[in-house]
Amino acid sequence: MMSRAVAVALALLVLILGPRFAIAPAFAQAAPKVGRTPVPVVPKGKGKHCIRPVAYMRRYHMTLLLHQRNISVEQGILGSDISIEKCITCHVVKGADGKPVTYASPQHFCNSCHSYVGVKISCFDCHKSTPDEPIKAASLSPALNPAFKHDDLAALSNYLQETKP
Amino acid sequence: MTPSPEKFPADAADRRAFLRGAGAFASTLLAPGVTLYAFGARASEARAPGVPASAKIRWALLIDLNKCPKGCDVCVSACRNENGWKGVGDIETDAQWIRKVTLHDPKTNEHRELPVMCQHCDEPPCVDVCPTGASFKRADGIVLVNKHICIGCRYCMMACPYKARSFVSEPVTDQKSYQPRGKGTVESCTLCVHRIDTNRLPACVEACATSAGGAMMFGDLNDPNSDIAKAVATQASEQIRADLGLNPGVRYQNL
Repeated sequence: MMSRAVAVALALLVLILGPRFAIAPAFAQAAPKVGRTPVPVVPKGKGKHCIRPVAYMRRYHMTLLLHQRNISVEQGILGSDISIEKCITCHVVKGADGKPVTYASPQHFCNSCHSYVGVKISCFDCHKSTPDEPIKAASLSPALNPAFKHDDLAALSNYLQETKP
Repeated sequence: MTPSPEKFPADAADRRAFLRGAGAFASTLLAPGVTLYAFGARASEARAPGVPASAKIRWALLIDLNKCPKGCDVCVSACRNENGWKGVGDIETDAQWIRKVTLHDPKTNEHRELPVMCQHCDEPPCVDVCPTGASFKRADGIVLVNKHICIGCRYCMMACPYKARSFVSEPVTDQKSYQPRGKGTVESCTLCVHRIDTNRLPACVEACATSAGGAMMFGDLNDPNSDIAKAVATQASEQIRADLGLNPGVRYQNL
């Protein structure tokens, strides 16, 4: 009985304190907040814009990839602007050692959001999560860059608090 | 509701490329009822973006065993380097996309080695047994595993008479970007599909030609002007386990 009480107490403690400690290491340097909500530190991609509007990509990037993977693997159609290789090439992030970080790192572009929302993807079980060619213009991970400023913090926060109709 | 990605502005460049491909298609009326169709792109050229693999092509290999010396494993190491498969030292479970098989005739004491990889059958048993449709034959005759839907059941490995497929049983980290591979899926020779699609030879064929006997020939069996089609039309060649009627795309000479 005693051990049960201790377990419950521990569980409560984790519930109350968990989020702070769980999120804190991933966004150690800057944990931007809008109101009461912390938002993930999403590194900026290279180039001017993504292949689709940002709002669309936020919600439907997985649909694009799912649709394209069938086309490219089964029919052998190449040259689409949709490809996981392009995702990781434009959104490459340098770690402290100057090398691109892999998906295992919380600073990886894909992982920065997925870890925040608790999504487990299996893309990088097979796919390489770093680009092939050395990327000179790769941005330093925002978590390591004190000068990093979130461009559209408000928009990201709105997206995160949006409810689906 | 998820809007279909097609409703969003498609890349105009892709459309133009597709139309260019369509424009290159020409038909000539030779005589009433007889039409000659000619395609802008030859089979040997890299496919234009947006064009699917063509069913008019049948990619194949012809391997001359007289030019395949004993103990040479240039093709095997080239495949390993190209596709990034390497074992953890356990022969039971390590991946083998291509291997050298030794044949011995006790009557003549003749030893012969042949490289054996996925034979890219016309009637692939691995495709027949796959419960999810992950094992499939592409239009141009290349037998592949769609690892997105492979559940790792290994039926295809049981069904393959050439033992061409391997199961990845350890986590993989340093894959090649063009050759994704991961734990829990079955894999095999892809005929270097990423190279073929960009008009390059499979890694084994290239390595054999540059640093070994040049025993391997790659090409389109359906193109009567290709070297491989001329070779199989004029010289004796055989398929291994031809009795199974699977019509493999890999043929051997001087077996």
